[in-house]
Amino acid sequence: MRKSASILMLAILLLAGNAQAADTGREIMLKVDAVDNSRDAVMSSVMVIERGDAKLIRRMEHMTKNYGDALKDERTLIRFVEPADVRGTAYLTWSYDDPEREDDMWMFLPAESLVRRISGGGKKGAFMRSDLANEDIEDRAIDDDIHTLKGSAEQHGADCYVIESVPRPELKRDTNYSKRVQYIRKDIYLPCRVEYYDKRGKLLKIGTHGGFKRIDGIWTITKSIIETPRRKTRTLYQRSEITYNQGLDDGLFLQSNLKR
Amino acid sequence: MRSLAGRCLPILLLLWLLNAVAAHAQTQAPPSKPLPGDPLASELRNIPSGYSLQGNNFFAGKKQAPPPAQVQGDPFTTAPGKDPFAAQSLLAPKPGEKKAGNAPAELFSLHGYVESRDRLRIKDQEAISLRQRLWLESEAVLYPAEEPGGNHRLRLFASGALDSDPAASGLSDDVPLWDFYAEEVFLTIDTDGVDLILGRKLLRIGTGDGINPLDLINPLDHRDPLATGRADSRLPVLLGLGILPLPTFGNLQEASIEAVMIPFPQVNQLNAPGSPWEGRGLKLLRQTAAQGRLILDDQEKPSQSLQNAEFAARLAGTLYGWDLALIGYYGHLKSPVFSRSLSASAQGEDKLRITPIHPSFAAVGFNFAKGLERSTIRGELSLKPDLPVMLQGMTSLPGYVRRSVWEGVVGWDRTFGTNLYVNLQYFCTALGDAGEVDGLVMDSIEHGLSYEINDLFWDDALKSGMRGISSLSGEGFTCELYAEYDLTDNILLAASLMLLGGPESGQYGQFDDNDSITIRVRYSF
Repeated sequence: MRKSASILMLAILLLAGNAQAADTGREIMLKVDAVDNSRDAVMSSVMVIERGDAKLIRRMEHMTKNYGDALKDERTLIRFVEPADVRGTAYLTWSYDDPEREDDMWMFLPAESLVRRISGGGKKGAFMRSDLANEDIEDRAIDDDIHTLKGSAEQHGADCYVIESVPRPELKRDTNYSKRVQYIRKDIYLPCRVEYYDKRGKLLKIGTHGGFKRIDGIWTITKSIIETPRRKTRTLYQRSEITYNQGLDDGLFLQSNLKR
Repeated sequence: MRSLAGRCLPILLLLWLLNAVAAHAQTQAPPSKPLPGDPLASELRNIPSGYSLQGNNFFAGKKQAPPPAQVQGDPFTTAPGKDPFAAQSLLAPKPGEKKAGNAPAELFSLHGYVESRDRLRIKDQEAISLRQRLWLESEAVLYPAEEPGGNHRLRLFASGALDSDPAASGLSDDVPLWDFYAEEVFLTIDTDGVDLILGRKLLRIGTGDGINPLDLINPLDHRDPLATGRADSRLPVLLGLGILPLPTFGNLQEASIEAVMIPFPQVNQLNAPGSPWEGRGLKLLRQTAAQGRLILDDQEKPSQSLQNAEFAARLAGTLYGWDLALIGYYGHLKSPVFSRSLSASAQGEDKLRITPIHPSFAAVGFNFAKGLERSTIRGELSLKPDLPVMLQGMTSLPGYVRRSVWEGVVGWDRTFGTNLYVNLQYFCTALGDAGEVDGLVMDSIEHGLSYEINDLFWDDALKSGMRGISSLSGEGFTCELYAEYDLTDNILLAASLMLLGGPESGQYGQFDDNDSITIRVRYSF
């Protein structure tokens, strides 16, 4: 009887292990993607870009609303508050989960009172001279990368999945990275560390994420540091005044709303 | 019991093997098509806020006690006193700063810059502009938004400047030594239906890139007609603008109609004698008039009455990712035509009288823009029926005829590599029935290119490039080599070399003497 019970216990353990192993890299990333299940979000953000003794400040206001049956399409409005010479400049993006469909993007230049259609050609460039690239702040579809679970590791005392994300071959020319290694916390399915590797496979920069807060029922990263060791620069990125599901009006995400 | 265990063991081993195979098959290529309806994602998206994401409890459907608002192992909270964010006073909100979300909105803000912009003409090494400027702009919320993140219902924007330009004011009378003026001043009324803007404003209804046949609202700034090598500089006008969003359906993603009324028309001011931007033709007329061979009247601007009001309308939409707009305009020519008549002199002889006037005209057209993978294409086509076109010589009266004029532009821009930006545009003007009249100042077809190429250097602090317009039909060219360096967030250093050339009678060639070097230092606050 004791032997039989032991076998059954072993079976339960094996099956439990099987349930864990069923999470592939892609499935884990789907869970990461699903953490923010909000319909819309409003927030303020501040960047401090440290370059030696110099510090550059960027302040922005973000609004996001998700669309589509699965809330996978996204419209985002970013308005710059600081630095002073770009105050009022706004970017409106309609991004689609369908990788075959081009994002729609517009920029508003207040000094010229001009709304201008732009393209995603500058994805590899730095975002406002920070350690973030434009591609880092865009909504990246899960299937833009091939995700491989490389194992588990502890980060800052938290148990994490280690996921290697390699761009799909047809998208490699649009990115700075040959791969990203992401440490995904097992408890809240948010990344706490992301390593970015350049096209030669060398470590380019490291993102550390934290300030995890549960806001309106949604676990949220409120603080990030992105470091570029080669350049000895880093960017502190803080998000605040975050609210979800406020029922943002669709009209906020229209070109005709891009005005002073 | 032994028998039961013996029967279970092979099944368990089989399960373990299947488990091992699954464990090794962790790499999973994405499907060829997106999975918007992925059941896993859908299930996770439907997690109510009271459910935990940990482990597989969600799939068991058991409601958990609400998890804590913070977690263990946060890199920025595990080492008290070592949080780099806590040490950054710059991250703290500024007093009175506008807040997102539910925080109270900023009700008033004041910003601006001080700038020294100095322009040296290469030909004679004379300063043609030493403009020192204090620019202020302010936004005031008179009735805040009722919902988080929403537009404020009633807001006022005002900008203005105090300029001093001893060099330009010394050359001509059309630039005062000291000039304190309001630039844009307008009220925005944001309602659930129509949005209204009332006041002095710049309003671009064309594609806003290089040559713009349908940018007809704002007149040129006579002090600085060329803002850059491929862009002009405009002045705001008093207008009323209504924007009405229209219902969308199918693949029509956005639609709106805009109606504009400019009650008191504004036109380009002719440059005074001595100004570096006094055109060659105007200079000759003034010289001839000074010799008494003709009478040159003052510029006859449209009278400031509602009878001369200008109107524009724009029906715009985004369809399948294409921005499309139909535009109509009725107003006055911004650049004058020189009307000719005969005037009896005291000696009883007829003397040629020339009057710069701004006849009315209408324009219709459409424009489009589309973002491609890494490029953007833009285009605009306009028809200006019965547009006044000047005649050469001095004998024909009234000196101009009306002809239909087609103008079209098509442009493309793209970012190569990381930051190398290239913009090319082809433009063409075609005169209808040109062959019926001899001596038109315009060719039946005029065309050319505008271009810009720039890149970023030194950690993106330096932007450098070249931009200009080049006529392919004898109007000349502009070419500007420029560099802009962000010394800090607030201090910009810029330098440029502007070259103009071509035939003396050409639109750009007439300013051949104005090749110049410009140095600009700006502090923004």
